[in-house]
Amino acid sequence: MQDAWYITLKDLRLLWRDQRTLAILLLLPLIFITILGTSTGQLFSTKQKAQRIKVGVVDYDQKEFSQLILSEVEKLGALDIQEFEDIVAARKRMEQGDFDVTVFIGPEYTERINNLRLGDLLARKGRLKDELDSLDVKVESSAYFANAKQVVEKLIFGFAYKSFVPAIMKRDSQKLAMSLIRAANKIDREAEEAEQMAQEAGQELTEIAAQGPASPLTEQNFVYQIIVPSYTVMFVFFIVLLMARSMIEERDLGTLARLRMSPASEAWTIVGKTIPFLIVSIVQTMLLFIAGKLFFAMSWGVKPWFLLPVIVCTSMSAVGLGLLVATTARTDAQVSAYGNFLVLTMAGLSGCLMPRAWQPELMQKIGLVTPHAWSLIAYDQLLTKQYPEIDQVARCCGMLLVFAAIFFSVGWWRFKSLR
Amino acid sequence: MSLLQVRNLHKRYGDFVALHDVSFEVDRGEILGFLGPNGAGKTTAMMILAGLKTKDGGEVIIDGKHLEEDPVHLKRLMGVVPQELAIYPDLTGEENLGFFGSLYGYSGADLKRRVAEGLARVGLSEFATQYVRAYSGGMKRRLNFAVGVLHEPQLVILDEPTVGVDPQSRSHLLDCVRDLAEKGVGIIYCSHYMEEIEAMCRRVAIFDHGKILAYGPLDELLDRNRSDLELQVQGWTPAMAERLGERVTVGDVRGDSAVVTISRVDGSAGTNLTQRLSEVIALVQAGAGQLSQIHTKEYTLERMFLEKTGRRLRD
Repeated sequence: MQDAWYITLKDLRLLWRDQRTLAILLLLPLIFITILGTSTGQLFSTKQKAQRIKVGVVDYDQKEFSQLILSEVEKLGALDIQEFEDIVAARKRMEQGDFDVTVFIGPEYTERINNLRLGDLLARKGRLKDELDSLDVKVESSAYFANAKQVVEKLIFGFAYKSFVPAIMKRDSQKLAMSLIRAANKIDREAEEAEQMAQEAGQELTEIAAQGPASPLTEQNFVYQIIVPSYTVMFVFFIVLLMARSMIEERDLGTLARLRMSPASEAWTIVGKTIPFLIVSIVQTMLLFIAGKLFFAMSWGVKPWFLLPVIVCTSMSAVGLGLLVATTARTDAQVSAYGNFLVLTMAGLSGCLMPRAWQPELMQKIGLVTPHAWSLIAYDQLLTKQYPEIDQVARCCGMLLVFAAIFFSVGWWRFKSLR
Repeated sequence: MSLLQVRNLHKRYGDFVALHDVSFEVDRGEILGFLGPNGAGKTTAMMILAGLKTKDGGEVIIDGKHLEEDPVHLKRLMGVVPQELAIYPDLTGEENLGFFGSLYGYSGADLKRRVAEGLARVGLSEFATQYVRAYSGGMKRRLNFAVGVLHEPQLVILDEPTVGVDPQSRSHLLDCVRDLAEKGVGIIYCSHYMEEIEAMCRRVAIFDHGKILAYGPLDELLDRNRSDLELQVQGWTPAMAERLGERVTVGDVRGDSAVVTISRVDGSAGTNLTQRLSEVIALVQAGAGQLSQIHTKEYTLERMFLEKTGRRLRD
């Protein structure tokens, strides 16, 4: 037992003296998380909202109806609107990527509205059968934003419809318009009364709701709740390379043979060689989670203490794999080749590189052959759920320990054959 | 009873026989020289003794105990100074000794004392707190030695301990080895430097192809009465070579001058050296040649080694 402690102390001392490697272990994942955070527009942002669709608008009509549409659209937080004077400038800016979608309101917009009759509002084959096209309005986008274009088309048409319907009714059927206006006013009054009642009841509801835990997911941190654990898990497994290199170095130096010639037992020698990397791995994860909280407004979930067993079990399976690679690879080049291949492939399969929820069902199942996936499932429960299933977290920890035991056993068996 | 007794040691890797029927002994205070070309089996034998490899047959008895009986106790009795510098370059000399010393169960003041003594023994006290990576080759070799004997073993295996060191470090290391032997430590000294073996060892074992080809006291093996005669002949001709036949071994031939050797040990029974020398002189003179020099050629360890193991290059 004491022998393992001496070997651990020696390796910790050597690791501490190799501070560049230690810095990389911590800084590299932080850099990755920062880059991805920037890519999703959430770097250091507690105020900025989620990505909005940028819409350029060219209004050749410049009359009351077209202005009505624009004022309605601008109220929507989901769209970021900027007006242009001519179609060429708008298209150029869209090509440059400054805008996702461009809306052109033609010079005949108001005239075509004026030509509509009451029946056109409901008729399927009337003057509105081509929706925006019928009104001299066009929406364009790059191929990448084709889906956004469709959403914007439907929105604009909805706003336009809402703006001209009362005017056409008033013009074509005074009586119908009056009765609709009366009915609308009645609905508004009833709604106001209902709102008042709801406000009173709502206070009680808020008090009840406040008794439960707050959701760890907020508009500010939802990206980091996913990418911090994902990249942390991926980089925790990079300890495999560090551990394998240490073992190869020990073998090349001849000190491994010297350790085996000493009275220290083989079992304690392996334990002693493993513990330093387990400690480094656990500290690495903790520091990344602290950095996530400090820099990215990441939440540690409603049960933060439950993160500890997941961190420890993940690190155990990582060092187990480290021992396996260390005792399989014969040279530093092999460590790089096997280690990087293994770590990156496992990260890709498991969902470290893209959220598991985005993966096809089959890939999600295949990913379960990696310890990473079980770690990610546990972190997902603890970091994104308001009511995490602790049973599932425990199951994941169990699976991680099984992985650790398998890797460790095979690694030990391989260690015996090392010379 | 000898400190180390190795009897009929056997080891094979698949079809390859690495050690076959190897037996030797080391007494307390004795330095046994291990000689042999690369791949001869010396390292395998040493690795089995050090517990790094298992034997397939035979017996290894150290201080009256079989190797398998109490391996941890025997590891404490044994010290190994490997050919590689098995030390950590990113630890200081003091830390290296401290770490390996702690694995042998030393701690506190006792460990400190042993580390200080170890450093002093190899002349590294003033470099104790320097990183080993900053040491010279000779300093590293000395530290490597100090680590191997820190726990005061009774049996020490030294594998090429002086490879690549300057004469000063070499001399210091050899003094350290002699000092250990004087204190009663049994030593196996493996080296390719014949002069070191001749100077240090009382007994030698010459290995090749997994077997011991020669084993015994150096004085007996290097029988001084086996010295050959070397003759310098002037007026050497091919006809003279033909006439002399197998009576001599022809060495260096330059123009009409040649060096020939008359072996003291000759296969032809009934002819002694003086008789054969007379025959050779007569044949040289008959061929109009003459002897310009005649001297005794010493039977050295290197000669014996090459005779036993051959001159063929090894992998």
